[in-house]
Amino acid sequence: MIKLSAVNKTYNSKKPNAFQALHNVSLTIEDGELTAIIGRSGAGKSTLLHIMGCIDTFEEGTYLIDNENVSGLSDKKLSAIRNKKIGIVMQDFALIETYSVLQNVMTPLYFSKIKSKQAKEMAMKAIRAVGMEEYLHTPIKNLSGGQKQRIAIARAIVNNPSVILADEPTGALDSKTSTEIIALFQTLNQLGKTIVIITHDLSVAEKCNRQIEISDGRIIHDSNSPII
Amino acid sequence: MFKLGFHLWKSKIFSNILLTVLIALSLFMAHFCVGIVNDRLSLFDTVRNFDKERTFYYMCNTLDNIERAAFDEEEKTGVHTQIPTFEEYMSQITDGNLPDISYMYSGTAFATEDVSEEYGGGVIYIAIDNDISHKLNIGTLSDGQWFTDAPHKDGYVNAVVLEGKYHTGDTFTVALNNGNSETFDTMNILVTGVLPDDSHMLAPDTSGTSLGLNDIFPKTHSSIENGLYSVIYFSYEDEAVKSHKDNLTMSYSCFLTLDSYAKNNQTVQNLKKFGWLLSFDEIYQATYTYIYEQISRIFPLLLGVFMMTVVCLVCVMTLNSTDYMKTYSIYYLCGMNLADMKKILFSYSLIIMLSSGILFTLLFTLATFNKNFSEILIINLYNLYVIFGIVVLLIAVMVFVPYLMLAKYSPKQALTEN
Repeated sequence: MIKLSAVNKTYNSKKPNAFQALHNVSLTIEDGELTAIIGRSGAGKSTLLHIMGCIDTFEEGTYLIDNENVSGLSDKKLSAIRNKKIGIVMQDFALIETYSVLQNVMTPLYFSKIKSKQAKEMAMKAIRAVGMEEYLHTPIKNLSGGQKQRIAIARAIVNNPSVILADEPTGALDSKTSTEIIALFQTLNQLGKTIVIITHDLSVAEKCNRQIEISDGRIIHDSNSPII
Repeated sequence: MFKLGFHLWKSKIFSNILLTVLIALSLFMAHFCVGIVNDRLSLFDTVRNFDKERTFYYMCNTLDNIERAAFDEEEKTGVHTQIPTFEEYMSQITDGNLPDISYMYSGTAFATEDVSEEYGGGVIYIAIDNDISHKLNIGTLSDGQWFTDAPHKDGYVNAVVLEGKYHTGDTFTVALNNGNSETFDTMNILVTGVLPDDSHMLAPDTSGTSLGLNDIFPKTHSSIENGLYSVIYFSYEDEAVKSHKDNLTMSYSCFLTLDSYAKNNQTVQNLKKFGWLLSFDEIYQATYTYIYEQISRIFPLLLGVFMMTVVCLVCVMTLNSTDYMKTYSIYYLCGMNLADMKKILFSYSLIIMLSSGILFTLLFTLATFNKNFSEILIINLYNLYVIFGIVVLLIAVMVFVPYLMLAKYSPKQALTEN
């Protein structure tokens, strides 16, 4: 479960160009939900995702993930949360071009201190889950956009995290491939994964069970709570 | 983490190979320079344990001091076996009062062909010196304080010239024979000083010539094959000397211990009459001066090479860090923390240092086959300390330069700015 309570985020605070990106954001995402966060550019979607992914910090409020308060945790503990509890999928795939498919998917496992043989098995399982087992030793640079995103998803799920966060996962893909990727997210959701997708594409949002709209750093609409 | 460090190394393999070569060369240079410094410092080992009050260094030649039997042509082949021993010679000089010469280093000499016609007047027979007098560099004058009327010139002083034919600053050519009587090289000799007894002090005249590596780092373990030290000159124009030209010439040097040192002591007077008797303080001062001058030449070179290596290393690591930024940002996504990053950087630097070490070992092994290097390239504690220190410093640079660059980024900055 993800729970944000009254979270405020300001960039360049105490400077003349200070900008408040999130205003008192509170939301709870239960286990097993497939949630889309929509909004225009600059609405604060990515900021919200970065905070949920423990990539960025915030000044006020609390953030609980699986009932663990992540506010004020050390770098080591936040890294451990990113490694074990959260899987992140980025718009530009965030894959290492010089690595093969298997090496990319195994990357989180290097930081989990899992033994090599077990790590390989886990990676192969994740690669099979996204249907890319034929490309095990293919360099990433030889794959198409859709294939790369599948590998990014495989890497995100390899450590069996409870939450998967996806920042515009179909932003760089054509419509057909986008549909395949969203279908993959739906499959993972049916297997029990909590998935949060940041998107500006309403067609993607409609395929999710819940839609949260954000504008100017405030949640203005939540399909689970019509009255905000 | 070693796998990730290896992947980092592989991704920039060409620049990493260049870095490896640079570090290996630096290690080799450092080892070489430390070897030379250590080699010179070992000079002190010879003198350190001597009795300072009673030990002296003595060097002499035998040309006109002993009556010799004349050798005819047929007997020249067996001439070495007929050379009187140093003890016999010293006994004659000191009228039977032979001092303690337990630290004796005898010179070697042999008669060679008369090549005076081929090389012009003033050509001489050359005696080969022994190790210790070269090691101690007995004749080096730092500022001429030993002999009041002998101005200082760079280089070391060779043995005594008999006739007062030349003046300070004069040069002449000699023929050199390094043990092979069929081969002669020529060398210009500079008169660096004239002693009251009209004997001369000589040094190689290197003015106008380009110095080679051996000139900058002269070997201290000179052997008969490679060493030229003693020069004994006599002019064929001088009738008094000419009669000796077919005789053997010889220079001896040794450490001797005198029971007592009194200026009016007959033994001491005889020793001084026929050669040089130098006190321990004079030996020590000369050695120290020589070592200091040699080390002063070596140290700037070593420092320059090392600084160049560090600067190149910092530049390469900075540039590589910029290229690695995206990779690190992905590692952040996957759960890397700062401690993990240090381990990855350490693994990466370890791979570079190991490959540099292998290349250095190859260079070292190949260089030891060269006579010029084999006596300098030894392995001892000093070399190991210096090499270890350099390795630690370079690893620290390779870890902390990129670490400091990357650690200033938060995970979000690393992701969004790359």
